[in-house]
Amino acid sequence: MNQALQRMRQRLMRPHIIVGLVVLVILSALVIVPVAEILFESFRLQDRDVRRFPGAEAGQWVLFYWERVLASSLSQRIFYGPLINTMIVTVCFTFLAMLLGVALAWLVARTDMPFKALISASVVLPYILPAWTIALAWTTLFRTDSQTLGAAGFLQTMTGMAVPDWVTFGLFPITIVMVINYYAYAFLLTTAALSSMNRQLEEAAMMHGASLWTIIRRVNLPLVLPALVSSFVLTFATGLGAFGVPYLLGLPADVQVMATYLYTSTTLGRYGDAYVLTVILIAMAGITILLTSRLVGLRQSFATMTGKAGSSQLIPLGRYRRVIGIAVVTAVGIPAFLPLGLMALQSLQSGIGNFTWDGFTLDYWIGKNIRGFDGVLVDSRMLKAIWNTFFISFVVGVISVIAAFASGYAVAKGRGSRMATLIEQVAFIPYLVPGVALGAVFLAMFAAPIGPLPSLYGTTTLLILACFVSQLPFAVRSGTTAMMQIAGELEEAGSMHTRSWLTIARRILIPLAKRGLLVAFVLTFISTAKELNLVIMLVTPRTEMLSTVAIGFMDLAMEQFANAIALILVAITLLGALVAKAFSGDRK
Amino acid sequence: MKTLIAGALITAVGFSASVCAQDFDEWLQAAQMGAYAPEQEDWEAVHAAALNELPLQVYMTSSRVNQPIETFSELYPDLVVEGANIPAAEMLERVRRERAAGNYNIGLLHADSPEAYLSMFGDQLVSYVPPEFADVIPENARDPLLVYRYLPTGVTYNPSVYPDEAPVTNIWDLTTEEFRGKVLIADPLQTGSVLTYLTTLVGMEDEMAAAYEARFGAPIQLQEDTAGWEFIRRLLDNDPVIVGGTRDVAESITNSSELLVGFNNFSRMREVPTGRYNFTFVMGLEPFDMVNLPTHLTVMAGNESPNAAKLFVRHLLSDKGGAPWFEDGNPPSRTDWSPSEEWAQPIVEHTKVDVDYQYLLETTDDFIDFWTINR
Repeated sequence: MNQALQRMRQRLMRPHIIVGLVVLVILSALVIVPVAEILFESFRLQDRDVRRFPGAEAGQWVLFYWERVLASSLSQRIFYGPLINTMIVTVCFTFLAMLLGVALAWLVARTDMPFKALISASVVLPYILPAWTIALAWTTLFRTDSQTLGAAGFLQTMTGMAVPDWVTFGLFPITIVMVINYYAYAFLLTTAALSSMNRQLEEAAMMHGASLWTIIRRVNLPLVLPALVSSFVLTFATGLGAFGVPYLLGLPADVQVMATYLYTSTTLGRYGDAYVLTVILIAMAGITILLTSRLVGLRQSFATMTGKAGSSQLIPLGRYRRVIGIAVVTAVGIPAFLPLGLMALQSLQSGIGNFTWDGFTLDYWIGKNIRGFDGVLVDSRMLKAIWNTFFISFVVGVISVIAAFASGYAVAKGRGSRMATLIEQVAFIPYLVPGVALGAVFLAMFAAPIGPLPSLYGTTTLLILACFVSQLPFAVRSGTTAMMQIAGELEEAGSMHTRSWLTIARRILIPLAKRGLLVAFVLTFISTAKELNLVIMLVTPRTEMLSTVAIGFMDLAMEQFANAIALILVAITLLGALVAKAFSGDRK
Repeated sequence: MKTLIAGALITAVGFSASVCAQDFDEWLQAAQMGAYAPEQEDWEAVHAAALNELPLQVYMTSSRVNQPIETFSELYPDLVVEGANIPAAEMLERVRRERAAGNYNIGLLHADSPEAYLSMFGDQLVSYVPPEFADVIPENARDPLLVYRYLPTGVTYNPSVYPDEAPVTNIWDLTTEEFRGKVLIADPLQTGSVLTYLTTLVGMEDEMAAAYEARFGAPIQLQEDTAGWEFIRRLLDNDPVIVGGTRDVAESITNSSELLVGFNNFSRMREVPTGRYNFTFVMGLEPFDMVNLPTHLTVMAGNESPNAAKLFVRHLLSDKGGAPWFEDGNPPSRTDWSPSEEWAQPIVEHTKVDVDYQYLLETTDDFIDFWTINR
């Protein structure tokens, strides 16, 4: 009996179990409680619908909203139509983004192609931009004078060529713009995996006379599988939840996806419909993750970062090396830098649209009193917003790295166990909760004191907490990817020398997972800086962020300011990425 | 299971935390507002009292929130006002959540959809009219809520395409074959002002029926319940061009060389003198030119800075404090005000109808469903 207890104690005291339990408890409090409230609320009569049921009271249990969404005369328009569009966009977008991201990652990490730094920068750049900016640039480029606005875009003005309507608005441009925006997921995660892989494996294959294609298929591919799965899940879920791009490029063609209708129902105050749609979105993504984790769970572990040194031999591309390099730089450079250029131009123009030398002005950057506002670099409120954005994003990035490490460790070491699966699934949920809904739930949870915790209302702490939760999916995914590659023997070797797991973590695990953790920091830092729908519920006068300021300028049709702010966001995120590199001591 | 209980607890705490009506009455008494508002304010005493209060927190649906705060701090350098610009959709839900959780920090709101606030917060809303404005703010603009400014909304066209006269004289013209595919509408499900405008049209059923008869010479044959709903359905049957926002409407009409009309807000006119847009409002339209959409300025009962709120309301109503809106195409409810900018002059001559809060409250959701099904 005593021995059984002892064994159980030993089992529970293993580091990954303890870490896993801690992670799970925190996740439950921050993720499951909000989601449970959304689920409850979808069955409760909302204030504004009380009038539909004489004698009813707000908060009483009803199936009204589920019926409205799934089986009423409104369903086709508010659910089934958007559902089909969502699936088309998500499937096409995921396929293309994975294909491009992984192919580029392989070229950058494993071959001797030139211009690698430039290519990496070009892939990441569109991801740094707020989603709406590239969609806006797309319409500026492609719209024609026969469409609603009656104005020719840049392309038609320059060449006289009018593209068909489906190029400008609808499912096609949504898919393409989203690929440009988000193929960085697959690229970043796969590059990290490929770079930290032991190169002897490839060399061994080469020595046996394997062809390039065979090496990719039989050596590289299986080894980066965890990274592929992570990028697939992130990309797919991004597709399901995407709002900004379909909003700008879909609505003019009357194309609704689930996220845009969800947004519409929240702006209309129809929270009942919104809760139902949120629950359905969460369920859809949950099923996807369940299927992928089952798929991968069947495979054995591929630990590739072992104690033996690897040389840095790259696969030669031969005499086409330069040609391939130039072609790739062009292909990824244009979608990355063209929108940026257009934004910079726009922020320097006194009028919107037609770009002229006469209209050139620095007013929106350093001017005084332009229709009541000061330039973005001199306005005190703007400077505060810049600081808030940087500070909040940085702290979220740091906490996320800690979470990434802890959860990645628990998941990787406990792979296949129920706890590992649970952590992965729970951590992924916030990705599917629309920002507005998550913000509202956090407001309700933390506006009043909870036990010893003081009210967090109006503090940056609340913003940091909410942003951290919304970034958990990135953090846990990147952490898992990084930790999966570290062979257990390294940790075991460490444990022969010291009994302290923390020392092992500090001296062995963290240095080895550095690259993956860096990716976690960069992804979460950037996403937090861009975050809008979530923080708009939580900002107070003291805690305004750049994105909330920018949306006000869009409403006022002062796009110059909005563009200038978007450029500042780019600068902040680049700065964050550089700081992360400096801290990690990464010389590459 | 534990998490389920936790979720239920949180919801329950949220509902039980609301303060009862009697507390608000006590607050009004202490703050000297509502029924306890004095005939004349001793502004120096109000100022002195404000110095002992927490900084006033202001939410506005307008991004110009910081401009009146700056001019206010020139008048009262020793008082701090903190303003946030929050989009209309989030503000209502956010204030509801705050107050349900027992947080009464917010002192002053400036938002549209007064009816939604009335139905949700009722006696927690205080209409405070400083005594010096008592004579210039009409009864319907101060009771039940203080209307701060209007967003007049009507039918627009391009005056370069129609230099002599407007292309329409009756709102039912928009349902005729001549205007098939020519009417621009900012999606009412995305643009609150258009939603309120069209819902108000639905409610003017007698006026709409009379306008129909004036246009076609015979009484209307109804397929829908009223002439108002009939108008919306026929408008939708006429293949209107539904766009994302009023900005798109202005831009399309500006760039078009052919027949196009569209609904828009008067405040978009501010971009006409700058050369960005070229459009104007139909004047002399049957049954009326514009719907006068109100935005309200409301003190929230229970806040910690009632005296600062009084001073700030007075400042916002003044020419200087209100300039960021009044001079930008959003006329105040004050009857003694007239625009100083030339482009804004016609607003005085347009015929305008006011919204009916109760009707909007009862009908807006039906309109949304009707629009969704018939679109």
